[in-house]
Amino acid sequence: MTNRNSLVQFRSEVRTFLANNLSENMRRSCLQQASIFSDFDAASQWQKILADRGWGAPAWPVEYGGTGWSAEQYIVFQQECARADTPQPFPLGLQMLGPILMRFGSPEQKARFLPSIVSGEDVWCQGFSEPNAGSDLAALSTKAHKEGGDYVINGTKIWTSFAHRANRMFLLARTSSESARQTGISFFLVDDLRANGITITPIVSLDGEVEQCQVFFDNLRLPASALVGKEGDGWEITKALLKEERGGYLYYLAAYRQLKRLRALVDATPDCVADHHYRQCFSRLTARALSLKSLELRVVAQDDSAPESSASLCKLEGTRLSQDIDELARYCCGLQFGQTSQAEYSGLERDALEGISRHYLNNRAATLYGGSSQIQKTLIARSLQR
Amino acid sequence: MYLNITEQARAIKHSLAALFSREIDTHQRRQRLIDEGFHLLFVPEHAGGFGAGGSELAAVAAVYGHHRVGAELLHEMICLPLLAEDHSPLVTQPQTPRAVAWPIDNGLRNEESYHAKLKYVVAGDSAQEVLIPLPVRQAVRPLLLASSKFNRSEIHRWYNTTSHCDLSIELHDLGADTSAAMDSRRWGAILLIAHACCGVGMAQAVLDLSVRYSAERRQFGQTINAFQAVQHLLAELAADVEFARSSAHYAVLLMENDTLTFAAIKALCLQAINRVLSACKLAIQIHGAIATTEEYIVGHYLKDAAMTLSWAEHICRCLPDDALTLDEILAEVASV
Ligand SMILES: Cc1cc2nc3c(=O)[nH]c(=O)nc-3n(C[C@H](O)[C@H](O)[C@H](O)COP(=O)(O)OP(=O)(O)OC[C@H]3O[C@@H](n4cnc5c(N)ncnc54)[C@H](O)[C@@H]3O)c2cc1C
Repeated sequence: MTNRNSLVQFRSEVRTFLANNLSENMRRSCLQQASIFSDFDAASQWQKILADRGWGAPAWPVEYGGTGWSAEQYIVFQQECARADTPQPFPLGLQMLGPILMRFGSPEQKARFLPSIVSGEDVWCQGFSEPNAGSDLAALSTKAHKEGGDYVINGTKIWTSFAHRANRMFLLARTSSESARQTGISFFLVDDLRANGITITPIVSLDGEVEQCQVFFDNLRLPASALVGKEGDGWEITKALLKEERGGYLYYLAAYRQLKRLRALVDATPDCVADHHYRQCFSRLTARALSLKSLELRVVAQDDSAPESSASLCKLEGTRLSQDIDELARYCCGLQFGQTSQAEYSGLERDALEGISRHYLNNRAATLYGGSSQIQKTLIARSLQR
Repeated sequence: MYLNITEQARAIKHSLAALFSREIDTHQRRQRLIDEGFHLLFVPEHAGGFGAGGSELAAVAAVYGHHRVGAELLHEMICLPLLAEDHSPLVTQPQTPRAVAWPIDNGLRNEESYHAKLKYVVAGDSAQEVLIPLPVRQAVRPLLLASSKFNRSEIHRWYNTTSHCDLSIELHDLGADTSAAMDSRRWGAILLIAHACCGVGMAQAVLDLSVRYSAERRQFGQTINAFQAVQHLLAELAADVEFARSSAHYAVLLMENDTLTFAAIKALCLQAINRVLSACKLAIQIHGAIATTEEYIVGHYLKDAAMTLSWAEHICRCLPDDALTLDEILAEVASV
């Protein structure tokens, strides 16, 4: 627990830091943000600035290069970042792999990989899904067989976000097909995505841009030290990792960023529609963001009143809310919707219009990745039966 | 009271569907429509057309939506009959519907272009007149201003088609009681209905795709349509399609019978298009990640539907409601 006075002081320290270090270009990139991921270059640059200040891993313990902040300080930091429109550091290393390595990694793996996540030198992507293994992840068929001291990887991963920009990948592969589906899976670290035996094919999204890729492995050799835990631990590690993926994200702040962008656009753009419908919807959506905040803060504080299935409840409501904000934003854009690079607009208006139109399309994925809404509902229902 | 889709409408629908599935290029489609005479479908018989009505409009617009033909060609087709009714010269260089203007006041014209004089009232105040040059090469521009707002290359990008049709329609905020406002309400009604029916075609397309895909895609050792959660999504989607269709067809009926006016048609069409959009979102959810790619068609219907709704909302914002009271609309619910 951090007392109120020191939190106020902390908030002002963060605010001053952000005011002094956030460039106009980085802020602009937030207006254009078209999915949950910030612009890759802006996010990398921002991660380095944070790391220089010692804030590269706000949620990590000090021994691994984190800040050692309390839960309240972490929240204050995230709130101030949202208020200031900072890019969001690439989450796969910081929010998913990092905590997993701290728990399951060998001392060598921790020493080698954690510092470069904090500094922003390394960007990790997640090689889980395959063409025939989506919701049913345990159906994955990429194989890792032992040859000499190495593992040889063959198979393909799909929907891998930012594989074309990342330099490393954490990967699930099957080391045994004899045991039960889950127990034959192992967790590997690929330390060089440009190595021989890897082909990366970009997938063009609905908005015409590339965020996901298909990755092919053709006899990729990995040393035995690339294995995390033991052979067959992959499923247990993955369950812990998905918990991080579902739990670590503050949906209410994502909603806040979206609502703020919409508000700025409507205020600044004469062609935007600001009518009764807009005002009514906007206040309803804001109320939903507040109720999400109430649950998410209880989760972060590990308050007893937060239900067991809170991570799924927050994902279900958070992604739904975000898509509903997209819908109001579409309405407000009127005929400007879908028209990117508006000649007669400049600056804020153009960036925001483009961001909103692209976000509208990309954000349909939010109810699919990280466990679809149907899977979340099943998890919530199961938790009620226990 | 329901709309009867006539045999003739069904026949037209099938020939159009065949035409659109052969040609995928907008320019070729447009040329083929002209070659086969479809562009005169809604032109009254006395003006040399086929005099098709609401039933045909519903059927034809749905085919446009299903085949992602693009709003320009739809606008072009439904603009022509109004020109004929207005007794404006229907200029067709042998069989081409180009170079037609739709002036509210009679247009002035010269060799190169029409100048449509448009009288309109912004926010109920002083009347304004503008001269709108409409180059001959441009297609129909009803109640419109030559627009530079639509950046064609961006529309390309958005629709991923190669369009050679240079049509855009821009509506302006009109006061309630001018004659322009009355005409424009009729216009608005027809445009809205066409878009709503077009949306029905999109919704049907995503339902067909989803039924097929969910019977093929396997997860957890079974096709995903075996999961009750997916069955419920499919059921919601089917409901969206049917109620979008019912709303749009009711609006056609009102237009045909000239019974209720703009307020009712507007409510029905917005309802229809909102359900079309909902159908597209459900279809993406049923498909999973594959639907978020440019390569796979189902997500493109979301673009189409979102643009259609934006269009419809725009029309509704620009055109004032008529004086219809809520009670009058309510009474329609209990009428035969
Ligand atoms: C933008 C985006 C980014 C992604 N990034 C990554 C990444 O970086 N790394 C990675 O590994 N993966 C990534 N994914 C993949 C993501 O994890 C999968 O899309 C997700 O697991 C769903 O799988 P699927 O798309 O194959 O859909 P499917 O599993 O085929 O599901 C199709 C439909 O069936 C439903 N369904 C399936 N099984 C059940 C069931 N048992 N009960 C009820 N309903 C069911 C689903 O809810 C959905 O509606 C990404 C996906 C997207 C869209």
